[in-house]
Amino acid sequence: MLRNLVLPGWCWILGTLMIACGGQTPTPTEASEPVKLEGPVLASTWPLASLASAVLGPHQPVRCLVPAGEDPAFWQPSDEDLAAALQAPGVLLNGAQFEPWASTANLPSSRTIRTGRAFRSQWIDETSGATHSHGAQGAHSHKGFDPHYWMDPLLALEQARAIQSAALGLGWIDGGIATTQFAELETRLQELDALWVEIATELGSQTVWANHGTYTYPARRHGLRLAVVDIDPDKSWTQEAEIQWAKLETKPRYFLFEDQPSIALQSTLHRKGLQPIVLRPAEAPIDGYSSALDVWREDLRAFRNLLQSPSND
Amino acid sequence: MKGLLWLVRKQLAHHRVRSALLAACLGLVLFIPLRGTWLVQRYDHDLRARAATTPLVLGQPGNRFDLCLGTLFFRQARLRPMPWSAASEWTDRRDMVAVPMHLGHHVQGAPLVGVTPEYFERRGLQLAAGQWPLRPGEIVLGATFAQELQARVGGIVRSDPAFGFGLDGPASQELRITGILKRAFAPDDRAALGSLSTTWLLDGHLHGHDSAQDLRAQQPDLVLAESGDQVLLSGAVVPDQEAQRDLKRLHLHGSNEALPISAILIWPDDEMVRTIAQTEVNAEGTWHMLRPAQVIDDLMAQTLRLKTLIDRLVWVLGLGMACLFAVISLQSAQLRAAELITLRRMGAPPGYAARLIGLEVLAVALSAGGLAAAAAWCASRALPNLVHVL
Repeated sequence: MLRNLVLPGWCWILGTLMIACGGQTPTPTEASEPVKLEGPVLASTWPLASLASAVLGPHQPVRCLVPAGEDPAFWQPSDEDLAAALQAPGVLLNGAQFEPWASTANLPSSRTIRTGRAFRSQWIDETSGATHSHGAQGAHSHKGFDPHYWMDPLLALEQARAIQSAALGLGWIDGGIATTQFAELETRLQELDALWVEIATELGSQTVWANHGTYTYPARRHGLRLAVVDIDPDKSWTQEAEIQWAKLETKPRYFLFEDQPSIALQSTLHRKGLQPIVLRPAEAPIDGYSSALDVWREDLRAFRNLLQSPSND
Repeated sequence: MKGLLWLVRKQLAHHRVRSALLAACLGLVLFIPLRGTWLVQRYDHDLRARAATTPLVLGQPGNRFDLCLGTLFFRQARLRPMPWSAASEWTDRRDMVAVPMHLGHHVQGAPLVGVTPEYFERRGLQLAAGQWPLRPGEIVLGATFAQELQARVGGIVRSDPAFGFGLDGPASQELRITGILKRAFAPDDRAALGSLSTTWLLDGHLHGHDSAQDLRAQQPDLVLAESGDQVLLSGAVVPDQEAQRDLKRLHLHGSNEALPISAILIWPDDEMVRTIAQTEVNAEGTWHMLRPAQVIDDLMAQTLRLKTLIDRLVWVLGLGMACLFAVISLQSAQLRAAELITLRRMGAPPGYAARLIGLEVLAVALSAGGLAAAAAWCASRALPNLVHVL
């Protein structure tokens, strides 16, 4: 009788022990602890840092390498920045030579993510390389590919997708968080794209002037007629601009600027009936904003509202 | 027995030159296979240890031994270059770590290897002093090389001219030592390591010089042609030789994608990734992917076959030596016939003479063995590691 009880007894004890030792597997619905990175993910520009913050969520630190007020195309990293890049979980680059320093710096290739590479076939080739200047960086010319693709929200979404893919591949976040965060970001970027659609609809066949080739990507996507007239927002109306202005039979009404134009330039523009519109690319951090996405939304909304205001007719 | 040993000692001491010569000859015959075995064992160990820590190597199709020994041991090998664009396919993958490397340059006779920072991580290299190279023109030195050079962090060394003393090749460059590595007991100890951009700088792909505008104004004879905003400069423009002092002047000509690399070291996440990657690459045929461990196995199989042959020859030599030794011993016994008869008359037991001669032979053989072992040990200290020499 006692012998008959021994085997079932052992089975019961073993079964109990197996359950107690954690035979259960976590279900996908269980909340997982956020992954702890050893240091911040580094981004070469503020748009990338903003996209990365949105993709990675609030628990993962992201550091924008370029400081406020600097132009990423001219900024050079310090030894400390480059040493931090060696230790960082990842380095996000825009590509298309927007960070010239990155082509010679000793960056870890397996953790360096060139966020524009996936849609390289969509890059715009800038064949004309007229020399011009804006800000304090001196004269320069653009040749090769236009690196401002983040200005097209749907290409910014592609950059975010590249960040998400790297984040999952390199283990910066877990899959559940990545999906939720990305869905939120996608909604925000689609809202920006919708604003561009509204702006393009309002503008119709009007030509818009721009002081820099920053807006060529959204212009191409939405069929905007854009003419680039190199004027430094900090300076005044130029002779070249005057010649171009004089040649036009139908004068444009809007002039897009990367930054607030100077008072003198504004008054010239007003005299000519040109409305200055500031659409900031937000390449470097801007005081008072936590994300470049907020800057873009604010500027696009302001432009859209201006176009839709009754006084504009 | 005590008396026997005393007689052996006296006999060997009396004929000390003959005994020493016999021991030395026999020792030499023993030394060769002994040293050969140690040498090959160490060579085998060092080669395999390095190969075992490098799962895959990707390069241009060609001599697999060159590719393997060049990338693992920085051996002088003319590896056909691959374009940098070929590397991104591998560096972007998340199921492996790929380290592009550029070989072929030298600093003060030591190999200068261009790598990405993952190389240091994967090889477990650590800094004894200073910091990792961050920019073009910065290098870290292996421990042995730094010691030989008596280098210090912050010092400057000049690269060896890429094309000897040819005037048309890129100029040698001043390179700044940013760090010295801890001893790793690996080929890295005898090398200088820098970024890929440093080796491109030495190739001349990356260089600095006065701007075209300045040259047009100051040395118009160096401007060969102008068209729109394009300026064709003469080959006589002297590029900067201290490029790392003014990095803003550095620029690349041509596409980044076309910059050369020698090979890519690959650390896949698991065996499946490794097998699939190797099969796909080798089936496609543009590049060649090999497992260094297999290549070293093949290399060692060749080496061991050669060693077996040499061992057999040494045994034949040893047999000849043994015969000669036997003849000398028999002759010696014949010469000592009177002495041995005297011993028997003095009451030595039967077989005493045979034991005496046997012990003498044994003593010489043991001395020879000791000499061979000592010589082999000294040689192992004095001779360089075959991995660095061959």
